[in-house]
Amino acid sequence: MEMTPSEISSFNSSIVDKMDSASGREKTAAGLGTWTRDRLREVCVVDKILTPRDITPADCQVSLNHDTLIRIENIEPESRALAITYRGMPTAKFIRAPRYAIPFYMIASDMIEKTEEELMAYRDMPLTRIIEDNIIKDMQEIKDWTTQNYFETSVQAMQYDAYGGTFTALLGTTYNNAGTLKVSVFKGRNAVARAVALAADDFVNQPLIKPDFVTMRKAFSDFNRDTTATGGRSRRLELDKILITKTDFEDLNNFTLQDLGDRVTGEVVENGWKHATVLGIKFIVTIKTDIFKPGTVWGFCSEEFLGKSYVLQRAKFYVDKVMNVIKWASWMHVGAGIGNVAGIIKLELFSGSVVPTATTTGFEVELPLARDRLFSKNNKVDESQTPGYPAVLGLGTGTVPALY
Amino acid sequence: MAYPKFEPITDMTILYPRDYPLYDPTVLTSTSNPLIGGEWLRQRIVGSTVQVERPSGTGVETNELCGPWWGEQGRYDTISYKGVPILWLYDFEAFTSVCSTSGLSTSGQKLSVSDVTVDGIANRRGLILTPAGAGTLFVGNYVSPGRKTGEIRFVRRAPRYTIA
Repeated sequence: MEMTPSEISSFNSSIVDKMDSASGREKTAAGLGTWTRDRLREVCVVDKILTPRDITPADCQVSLNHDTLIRIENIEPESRALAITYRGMPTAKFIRAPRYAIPFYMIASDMIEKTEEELMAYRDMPLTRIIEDNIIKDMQEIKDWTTQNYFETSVQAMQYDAYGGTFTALLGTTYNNAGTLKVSVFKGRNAVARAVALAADDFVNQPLIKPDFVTMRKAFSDFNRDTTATGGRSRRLELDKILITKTDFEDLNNFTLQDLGDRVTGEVVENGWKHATVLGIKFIVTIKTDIFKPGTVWGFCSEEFLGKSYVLQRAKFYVDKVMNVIKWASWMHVGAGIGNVAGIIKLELFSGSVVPTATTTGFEVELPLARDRLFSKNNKVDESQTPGYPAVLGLGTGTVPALY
Repeated sequence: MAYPKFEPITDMTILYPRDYPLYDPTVLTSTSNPLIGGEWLRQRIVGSTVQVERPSGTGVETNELCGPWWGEQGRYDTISYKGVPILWLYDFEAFTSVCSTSGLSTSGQKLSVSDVTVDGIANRRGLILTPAGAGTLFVGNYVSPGRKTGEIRFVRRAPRYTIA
């Protein structure tokens, strides 16, 4: 619903009015209007991988030492069979099931403050309403950021274990060597080809190609070798879905006639990739490329083999007025845990190593931005002394660049 | 539940504890080198972001941007977040046992941050009597003994340097 200027003005005024009474300090419904938006705000991505379920404090455990909550989750017990003779007896197994804990934490918006006098300046835009809508997605963004770290930890832990408890660089130049173990992290074929050709590893992301999807499909059912010929293991899982950035996803539109056949090629040329799957894999496409960096494609097994996600408290909204200053904020309590670190794989479309303590110089470019570097804006209005007409570096600060 | 090792007795809603990522988050789960509730951490810049660290074994703190971690060892929210709330913006009063009580006997004595031994673990960062001499950073004042042996009551004040 679009609001007229008079409605917007009255909306902002009504916020001011309602702050004067306790009953008025409630979320006020209104539509969006006619202002310029800065960027797309995407809903939570990791909620599509681990479906969040509501939980109450009664379902959680507390600590003897402090006042924070965890939810304890069980993992199915191990069992096995063995062949024996008619007179032999099987070995005994005193059964137990491992458990893991999902810790909860709080995500909060800024404490947003504005005087009612200054709020009157926003006659054409319901400032308070926009912020209220956006901060929910901002909080979900932080949940994505936090959970992405769990993903990275999971795949690196699997590589670490395969190498016998050593962090070992995963490089394009040595990727095809027999001694290179690819358990949960894989390189794109183009990235390896580039590294071999240059005899150097770097962080130039290479286009995703069809064989890379095949690599991911094979990963969960592959036999993972380790450093001894008699070792290794089979994780016996299946790829269920991938998480890919919009940037890398666009490479699907470059798949060739040989990749797709003439029917699908025609469709892709006309509409871009519109199919719900690729090579039978469901995909989640994200534009949050400051959290999930282009050049990295994540693969997940089915949720039941992966972990849990809980919401201990859905978003709460606080609003108050102290004299003429209106304050509002929102927060929620969430927790997510990867119970099965083998349930995640990662495809890297670059040749350099981001393995902890075994990184290639410049590796930071492939990792999420630090929390306080997120939420950057696009527009340059504030940087210009001519509102709406940004100054361009090199053309003289604060001057209108001569275009003609 | 034992007494917390650090317990502010000033209204928390005016203190604005601020969360910072830990430079070395392994201290949150370490048993040999744990981060103890109430340890004083200092800020450091990593890239273009601010983190906090415990510079064990470096003697008297010289960074004015330091403050105690308001939390207890093993908290689940900090383990998830890999960051800790630091009280560093405003003055406050608190009890702490992350300290050395050596030489502390008179109200108003200056306190500095340095290496102390807590629960038998050396090189935790806590409060000590400010060493004599000019140009030493002090962060608060001694108020009185605490509620148990080894604990003090102190007031945190904006850091400044001693003069002759």
